[in-house]
Amino acid sequence: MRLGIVLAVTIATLGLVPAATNCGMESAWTHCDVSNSGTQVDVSAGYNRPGATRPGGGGSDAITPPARPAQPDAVPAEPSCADEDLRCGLVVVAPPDLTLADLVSFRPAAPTLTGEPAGFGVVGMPTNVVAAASEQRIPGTVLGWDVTVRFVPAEFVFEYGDGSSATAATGGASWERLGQAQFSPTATSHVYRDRGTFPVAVTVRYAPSVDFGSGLWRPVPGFVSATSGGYDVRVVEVRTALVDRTCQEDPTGPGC
Amino acid sequence: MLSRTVPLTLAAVLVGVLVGCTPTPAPSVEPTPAFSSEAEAFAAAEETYRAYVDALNQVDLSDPATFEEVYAWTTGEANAGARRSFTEMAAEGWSVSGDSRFDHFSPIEYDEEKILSVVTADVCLDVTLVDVLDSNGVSQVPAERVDRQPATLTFARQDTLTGLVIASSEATDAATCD
Repeated sequence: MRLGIVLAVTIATLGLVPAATNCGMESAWTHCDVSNSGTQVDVSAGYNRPGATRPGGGGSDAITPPARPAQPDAVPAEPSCADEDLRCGLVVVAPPDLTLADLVSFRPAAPTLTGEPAGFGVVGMPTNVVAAASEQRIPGTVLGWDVTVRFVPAEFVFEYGDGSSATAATGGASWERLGQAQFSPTATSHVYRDRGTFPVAVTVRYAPSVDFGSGLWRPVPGFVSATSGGYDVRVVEVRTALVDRTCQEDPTGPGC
Repeated sequence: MLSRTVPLTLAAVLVGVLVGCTPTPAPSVEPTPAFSSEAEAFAAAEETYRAYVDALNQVDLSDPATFEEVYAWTTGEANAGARRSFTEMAAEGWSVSGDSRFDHFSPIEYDEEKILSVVTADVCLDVTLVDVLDSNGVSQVPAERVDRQPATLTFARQDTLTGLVIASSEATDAATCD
């Protein structure tokens, strides 16, 4: 129980309490619940993992008084606490455990995708493919809590369009940035075996975590994926030959 | 005497165009000018609310591109709420018909110091004409829907045409719609 209480204390201190009823007009299309105006806040089954430890988490075993809404409602009528209703006095608030389904309204940006040589590849030689995605922090509301959702790129899955794919921990980099020679293999490069035009796509798997305002990032199990395509690689064969004259000198010559 | 010199020419030239990875510049945040008077701030807030209603009326739940204008006029909680509602309704295959209407705008407070609630106002969300249908054409509007829903809006400073966006929208049981 201690962890839940510690978190509740932190949240109450920061004044971050769940805004219970967001009601934009698009919500009103169907139905909006009117926000309650008392001291009642949602009690959430908890983030109370037996054995979970928090570094330096001293905290107190004292029961937290109920958090109050940040903005008092227009209706001042507060339920009386004179009765025996325990909810009036003792409410412990702990952030809920979230799943990917709760984050459906948070969409990380799609990665960028490019390659070198730009739009080209050579049969039998490495074609470099480079994707870029960065960490994103998106503020919003989940289950009535003001949160920041963080997406950290965890994996890049490249599909090279010829049926093969590869998974890399990074999006790769250009040969120049890697300090490598052109057409040398990289972590994200691919060797095409045949000529043709191949649509390349990359899927970034982001690891989500959520901050309920306490500065503590709580990971959400699973990944949120974002895919980019639209990068076609035209793979050509390169042959060298000795000829008598240049194409300028003899436009009808072989290969001209 | 014909020269027997054989010019050797390398015919195939491979041109590799190397693309550098230039990072996209971070969008610069320009400070929004403060309002010169309370009346000006209230007028901007009303205009913002009208623009938001207009944007809602352009929404086609089957075309997520039409959501963007609504998102542009909202931030924070209101933005997250809109994203969630649209995502859910679109995922269910629902459609919306009829216009949401501007009904009432009563400014309550202007506080230059507050970032997320520069202006607070009571409005009346009039959705009398709105119907939401599922993919079978069955209305998803429950009987208890309040056709004219009182709500309190807060506005945050942002670089829009009006200098404001809607930051939160909370249903109340105030008498705004009466």
